[in-house]
Amino acid sequence: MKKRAVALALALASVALADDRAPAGAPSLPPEDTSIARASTDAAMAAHAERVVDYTLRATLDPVAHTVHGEGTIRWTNASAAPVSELWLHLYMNAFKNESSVWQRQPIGRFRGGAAVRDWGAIDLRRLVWKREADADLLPRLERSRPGDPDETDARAPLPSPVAPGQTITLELAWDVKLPSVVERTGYDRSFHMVGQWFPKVAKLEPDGQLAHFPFHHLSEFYSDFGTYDVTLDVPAGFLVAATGPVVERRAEGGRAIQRHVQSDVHDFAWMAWDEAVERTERIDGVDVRILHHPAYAAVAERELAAMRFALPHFRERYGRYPYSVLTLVHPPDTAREAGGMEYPTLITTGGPWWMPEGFRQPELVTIHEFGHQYFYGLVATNEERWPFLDEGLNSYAEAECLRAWLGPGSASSLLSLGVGDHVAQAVSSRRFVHDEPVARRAGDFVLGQDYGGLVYGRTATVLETTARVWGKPAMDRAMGTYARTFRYRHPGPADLLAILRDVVDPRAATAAKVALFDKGWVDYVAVEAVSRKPREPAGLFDRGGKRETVAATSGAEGRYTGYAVVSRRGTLSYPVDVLFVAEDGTRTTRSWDGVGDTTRLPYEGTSPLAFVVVDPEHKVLVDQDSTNNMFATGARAGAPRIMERAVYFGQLALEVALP
Amino acid sequence: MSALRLRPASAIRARKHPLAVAFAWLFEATFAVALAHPFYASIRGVYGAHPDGDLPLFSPDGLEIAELFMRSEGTTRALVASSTWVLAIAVVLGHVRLGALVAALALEREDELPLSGRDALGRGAARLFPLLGVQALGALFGGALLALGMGLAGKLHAHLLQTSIDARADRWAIAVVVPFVLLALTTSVALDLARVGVVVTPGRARDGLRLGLRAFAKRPGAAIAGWSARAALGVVPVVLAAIVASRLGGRPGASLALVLAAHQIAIAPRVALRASWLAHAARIVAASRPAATSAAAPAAADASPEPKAQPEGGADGGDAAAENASTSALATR
Ligand SMILES: [Zn+2]
Repeated sequence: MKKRAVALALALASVALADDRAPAGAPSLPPEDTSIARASTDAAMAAHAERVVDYTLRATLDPVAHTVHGEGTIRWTNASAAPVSELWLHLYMNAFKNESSVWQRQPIGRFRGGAAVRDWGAIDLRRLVWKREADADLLPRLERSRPGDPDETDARAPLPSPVAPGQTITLELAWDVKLPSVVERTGYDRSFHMVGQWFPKVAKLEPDGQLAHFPFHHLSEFYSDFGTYDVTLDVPAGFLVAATGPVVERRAEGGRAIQRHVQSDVHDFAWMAWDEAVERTERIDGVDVRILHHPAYAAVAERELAAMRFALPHFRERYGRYPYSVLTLVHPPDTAREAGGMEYPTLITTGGPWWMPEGFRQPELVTIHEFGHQYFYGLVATNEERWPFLDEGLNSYAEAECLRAWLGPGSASSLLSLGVGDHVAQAVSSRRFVHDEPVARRAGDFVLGQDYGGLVYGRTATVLETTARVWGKPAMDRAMGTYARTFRYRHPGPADLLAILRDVVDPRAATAAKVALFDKGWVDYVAVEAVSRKPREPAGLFDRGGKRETVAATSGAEGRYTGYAVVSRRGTLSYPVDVLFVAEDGTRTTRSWDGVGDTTRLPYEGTSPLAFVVVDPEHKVLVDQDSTNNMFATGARAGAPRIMERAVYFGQLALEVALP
Repeated sequence: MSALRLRPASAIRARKHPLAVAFAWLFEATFAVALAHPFYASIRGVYGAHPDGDLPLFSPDGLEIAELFMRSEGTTRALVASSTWVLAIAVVLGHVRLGALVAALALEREDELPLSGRDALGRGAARLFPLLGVQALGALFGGALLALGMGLAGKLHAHLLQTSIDARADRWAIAVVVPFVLLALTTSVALDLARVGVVVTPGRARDGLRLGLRAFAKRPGAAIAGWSARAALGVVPVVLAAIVASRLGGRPGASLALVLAAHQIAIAPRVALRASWLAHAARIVAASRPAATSAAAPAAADASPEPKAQPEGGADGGDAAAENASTSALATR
């Protein structure tokens, strides 16, 4: 099993490295017989992750100074095929240390983390020793930043001697963290303390012995190896704690509350401590679900629990059993909303104001999204820095799929008769960014936060939703299920996803997805023209039997009309589409067009003249750049009486407010 | 033209002037059509090419309407800009409507013939500029109240956030804002009495303004109760119509006709309630004037005994205290 994983990882690394220097370079698909057995059922899923790194840590919180003192050991195994002579440690709390960090010096508008840092944060490594016969102190040679780049989030620790493949080493460490005011994901807001990215974390080891390390960038999330986290948290009595993994030990000691959390098969550990929180617990689908919130947020907390009641069994069916015994939700106060909407293994933060009206599904949407990350990030542990679309994009698709199954078509908001679906919000909001940057791009390479948000989340989800609509939901469900199960506890790349789309859905689906994600692919179907008339004999001058005859134009045969519609496919994506013909007598016929050529003429024949033509009437191609040019009227246009009625009524109501 | 005079308070009844109320509705409907039509035309320009017309715009997942909205950002901006002008014109002319409505309700000819539509409109037009002045004054005062309330609430909110959960800070901020909103609403009630005063008082508009405000000062309870009861009642048809419309949907044909009917049945009582309120306001103004006082001597009103406020019966309830109220002469200009 381990051997197979290494072979797989090597294959993936070659894909990743090949793309490294060519931002728009899409991966070439692996041959049909991939080295991993496809898992389309839970029985074929991996039971555990390869254990590369174990952390045994102890953390003490001072909620007044907003500091955490940490110490403990890291047990790290060189699971690669090459000797490793340096370790890279992510010290991400230093992103908030000063304005010279990568995080703070790159302006990245219109995405999370836009607020100014009100109180700086930092991490100081106090001790770093390689425990062996003759202990090696790694701290003196620790390289906290690079020459010419003062960022201190990505530290290099040269080793006195290389670690051989298969060899396990133990590091002893101690450090101090000063939490920032909540800026992006982590920090404090009064007595609310969200502690994420708080310990020195070894970068992900790749199969070639390189460590996939990167500074903390505004738009980038994380990438780590699996292992076991055994963490003891020490907070003042009266503080409720939420953390990764179940509590295995709990005691009170000198005015402190101490609890130990242990969780295997995860790749991060985060925690929260808050003395104003209350908690609710409920066993859902065999999982102990716990939600911590301020009492004033009880109503939204209940909505989030309701979301979990639907989502847990739904995701189990679609993407395999949730393998952990606990799932903890934290609803941060809205003043700390930057700590909300974030995923860590078995711990998610939701968000939204306490007064959010029922019709706006933000609490439900965020809850399901963050829970979805337990699969697309947690279990399928893709490189979030290199391929952010693989976790955020797939998860956005899963979120919208789940929300629609639960709440119906108005899954993002629903007020009276006005509803907006989550997939619609994703599709429409991402359209405007399609030509700006490729979707499949390194998180740190995105120029604008809005491009990252629109493309990585919305565009990817819309491409997948289009695949589901064009080739059928069952095929797409099978593909997503196979992908999630096959790559559980693994680190797949784009090629793996595309291969599954090709093999499980359709080769054209894989090609379209590849062009859409890597090459800014786009498509706009247009109904250009439609004509019909009675068929009749050709009129004009004809030379027949040595004589020139004049054939007059006739009015044609009664009760039969022939004609055509001209439909066009603009752009670089190609999907088969339906074309709807509507005759003047109301008769409707649908023809399919393979969508392969650019512009085509589709014949019409009927007993009544052709009145309207609509390309893709059911909006299967949700990526269609402009669906308002998909219809054509040959003559009289239809009315819009309902719009007029509504507009007049709302005009009247508005006037009643404005008029004296 | 015969001179106009204020009716006895007991004779001021909105229900006696269905044509005036109908005119008020027509005015509103006409401008609503003027506001709606450019949006309609723009949408039809796109969805007229669809065999189902505007039906897809009401799809349950909102795709078509969201797409149209995103696509037509420029168009929407232009439409909103032109609508703002239409709305501004409606608001200005709305003062003539208000003046005409108040005149029709509260004034009569000295020859005891009812006011003609032309008389009423003439009175409204004659008082256009004073009414606009009153509006500006009211907007300024109400705006200042709201700004003050928001400012105080914002300060308190920021202060409370230092020490407590946002929900608590939000609630306190709301608690601070609400009295200011109520005060601003009260201002708008007083404003309506001032408007009535300006319309029914001959001569200088300032005297009419003073008359209206004094009437409010004398019987604020009656004025606020009369306004609030009607405002609350006015919400009912809108809620009912929303329920009906969401049930029916409104596919072209019978369903759409029913929705149209439901909406207009909701609008009609609201216009009538507005007229009823203006009649109520006029009764208070009329009652606050001493017997046989002419408009030329408004100062006499100061000396008049304050009539007791009476509980209101309903939308167009009687005003017993107003029964002995006076008539006064004024000429249309
Ligand atoms: Zn996410």
